[in-house]
Amino acid sequence: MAECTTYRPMIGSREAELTPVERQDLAIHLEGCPGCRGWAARLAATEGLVSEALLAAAARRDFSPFVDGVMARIEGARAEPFLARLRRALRLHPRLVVGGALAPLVAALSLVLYVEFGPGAELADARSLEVHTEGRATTIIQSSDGPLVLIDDDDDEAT
Amino acid sequence: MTRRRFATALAAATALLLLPALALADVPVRVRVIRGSRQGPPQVDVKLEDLRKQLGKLAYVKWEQVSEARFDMVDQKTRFMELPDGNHMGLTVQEVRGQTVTVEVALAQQNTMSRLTIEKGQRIVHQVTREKGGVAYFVTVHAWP
Amino acid sequence: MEADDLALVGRAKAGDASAFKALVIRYQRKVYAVALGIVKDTDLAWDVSQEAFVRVHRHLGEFKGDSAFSTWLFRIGTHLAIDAVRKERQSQKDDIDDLREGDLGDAGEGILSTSLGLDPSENALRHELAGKMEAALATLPAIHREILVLRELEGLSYEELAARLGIQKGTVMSRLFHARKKMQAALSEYAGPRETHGGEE
Repeated sequence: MAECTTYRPMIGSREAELTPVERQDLAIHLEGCPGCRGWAARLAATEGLVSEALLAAAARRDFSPFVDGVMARIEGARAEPFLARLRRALRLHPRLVVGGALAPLVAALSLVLYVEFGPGAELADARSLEVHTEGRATTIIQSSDGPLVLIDDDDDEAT
Repeated sequence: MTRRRFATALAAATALLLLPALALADVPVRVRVIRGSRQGPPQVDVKLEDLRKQLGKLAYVKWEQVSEARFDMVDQKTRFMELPDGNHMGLTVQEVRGQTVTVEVALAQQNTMSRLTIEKGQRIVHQVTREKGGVAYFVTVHAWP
Repeated sequence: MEADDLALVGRAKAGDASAFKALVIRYQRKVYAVALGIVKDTDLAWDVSQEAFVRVHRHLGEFKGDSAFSTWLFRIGTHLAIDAVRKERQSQKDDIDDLREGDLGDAGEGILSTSLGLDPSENALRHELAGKMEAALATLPAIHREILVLRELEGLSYEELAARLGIQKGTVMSRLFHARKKMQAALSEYAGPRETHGGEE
């Protein structure tokens, strides 16, 4: 029985996964151990079931929207041109947590100014300051100490 | 590209692809959960003195530190943290280039995912709960503290 | 398939969106299946598998073809899936990889091989068990689900599992043993009643 703790985990291994000595020792052990032979039989009987079950679950699902969803995520992750981001900020931020109606414009301008003139200006790629949301608008306030990101309120709280 | 440079680049790419268990870029971070309130006398927790200037841009007048954690973040591995409202935040280092790091902050409950790049010495301040009764919680992320 | 993948990757790198979409369509179900096995939840599996392709797209330029594209893709997918269930791992107190004599006892799993018989491919019970497998898999702790899925669906060797999970080969073997034992016990609950009715097909 004590030997079984060594050999039983070896059952189910593939050809090159055990050394020749291990494989031979396992064969000898199995000849004399009904418990381990039973385990080997159980493994053989259920071989491939996990794979079969999960692939069947995948086959049942409707994947027609999957690739479009992937492409949409990829597009969403790309940087928007500055003007598009500015238009989005102005359209989606009717109420701001901080500042007045000009805050998104100021924030957007701050983004530009920060990227162009602030520390780390060599990071000219506007994607470095990208914040994107799916369904919830945010406000970004840039500072030399780092960005502040605010979550907008629910739409139903808008006046 | 010379053959030697190509071989070096190939070896580097191979190492990156075939050894996911190794930390590609461990970035030490300090993460604090802080509470901002519009009410009460203006006051900034002494533990947040380094953030005073940055937080001063917001309308909240009273700031307290709720919790703090320091750990190493491994490239592309998301770290989940529990927030005061019981939800979770996912933090992921997306890219490290010299002294700059791009961090992804994901808040599933708020339907928000932010991708922000900061330099050493800068901090991200990110709202993580909606404001209720004039109070909101934020998380600050400071790389190489 | 592999050569065809490389051709599509080459075109995708050059900006051919239809080539990338072809790769997505080719592997979407299997990536989803792997994710589902690990995260259990169908919506999360969908999300994780989509994100895997997004990450692949983002890093396409870094793929040099030293490994198969599918290997790279599944590595990213399982990485994301394992991260997604990282929270659950903290609560597991009984995930012991060591193997003790007490672990060898037959907890009723012997019923399975009796019921399934010697020719699994023609056994109606096997089809039914496959249907129960998803539920049975979901009852396992995360680290056991992960290793079973990686072994059986992705077909990783002990060495590959050790590298992917950051553990020793010996731990791979004992963890697989524990995972299979728990799986067998979970499935035997479905096979049990049949034996009393004279079980074999």
